[in-house]
Amino acid sequence: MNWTPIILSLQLAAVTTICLLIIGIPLVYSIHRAKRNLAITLDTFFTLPLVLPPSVLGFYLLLIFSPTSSFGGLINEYIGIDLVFSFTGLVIASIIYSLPFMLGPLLNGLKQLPSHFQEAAYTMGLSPFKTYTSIQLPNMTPAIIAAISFTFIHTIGEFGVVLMIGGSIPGKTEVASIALFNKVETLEYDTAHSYAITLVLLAFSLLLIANVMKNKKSTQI
Amino acid sequence: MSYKLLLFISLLSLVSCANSKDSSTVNVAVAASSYPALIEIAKQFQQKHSCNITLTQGASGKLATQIENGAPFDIFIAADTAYSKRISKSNLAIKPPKTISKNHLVFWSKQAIHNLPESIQKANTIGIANPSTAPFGKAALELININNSLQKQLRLASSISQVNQYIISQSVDFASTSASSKRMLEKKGFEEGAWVISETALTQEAVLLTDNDISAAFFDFLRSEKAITTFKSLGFE
Repeated sequence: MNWTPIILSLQLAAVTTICLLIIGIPLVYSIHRAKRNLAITLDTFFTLPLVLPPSVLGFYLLLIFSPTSSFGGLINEYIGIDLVFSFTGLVIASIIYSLPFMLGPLLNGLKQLPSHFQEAAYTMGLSPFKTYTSIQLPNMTPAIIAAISFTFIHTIGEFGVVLMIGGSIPGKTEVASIALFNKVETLEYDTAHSYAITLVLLAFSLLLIANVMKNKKSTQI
Repeated sequence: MSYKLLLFISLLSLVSCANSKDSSTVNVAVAASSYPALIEIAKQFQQKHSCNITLTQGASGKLATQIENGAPFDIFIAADTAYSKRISKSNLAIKPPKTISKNHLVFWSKQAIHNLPESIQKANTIGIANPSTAPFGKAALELININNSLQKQLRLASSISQVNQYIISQSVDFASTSASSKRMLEKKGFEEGAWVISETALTQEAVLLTDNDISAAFFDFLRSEKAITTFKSLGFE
């Protein structure tokens, strides 16, 4: 078995999770602070990737990313990176695809915090943003752990979008789920088995670690 | 806090080693029907040259579309001349396409075949590769001349690879694939059903897409004495 697709999956999941953490934390703050109707609309919009078929996302990304499109062409010309058939393209696609898995747990975590945390912080003169970063975020560690682990594992399980915009280039866009699909197509069932079992073990152990960490943190609070 | 730092550093190092493009890698996009042969030929080439040949298989039409949209392949091996011509016409090729082998269209049936049209009529399910992207699917459709009454029986596969899956799992009554696939299935120990090799043969052509020494060397190797022998031993002509 060739380990490159597994390593590529882990790399993609790691980069996506880091990017989504950086995007997700301020985004959750703005959704939470927004007026009720706007908050609901924003929440619905960012949850879309969860319910849309991956092919819808893949199709539009393919149109936008293509070097012949205006956006893809601009990126290609000025930054010199290809967005289709490249790792960078997969990262952007995964960020959109896994966004609900980062936002969902964070928003729920924030909503479930007792309101007196926020009220007490306000009476002591903390700004809403400062309250978020130094009071609310540190008190929702289980939610953050859940968000990180779900995003990471969900990205490893990504298939449809990668198939559409990645094109299964070995070492670049052929992640583990795609490699498994290819091996089944070419009747190399032994290799397909080893990819499948590795993915099952990987997902189980990652979920287990996340659950153990979450439990530990919850009991501490 | 220290374990978080450690985690972060390990993630960063994981990220930094991503995407290192190796100049000695040859990315080959190969038609599904030629994929098993290319595995052998790539092995032979790698024994003599220190390089890494990666193979991506699929329907020729799908691969051609990917190449036209900027997929980073160095060599394209199409199952028929239409797709290789399409690529060379769009100025993506370094040299004119090169003929590498011929591959016959074959039919497989769960039951013994006495008369081909009769077998087709009797079949409840007919597996062929999608004719809009797969040359062998197109050739099969032209030959068996499916009329409207048979349309419902068709089970379209994404490429010859998927047709081979239908055959090995015997999930269709009748199927059309390539002579090289027949050899590959037999090598895997598949002995069920009956085969008919048709007169129709498709010509495989290779197209060189990037101008570097190692890709050009592999491109030339595809027509070498050794490669031809390998192609012949794997069901090609």
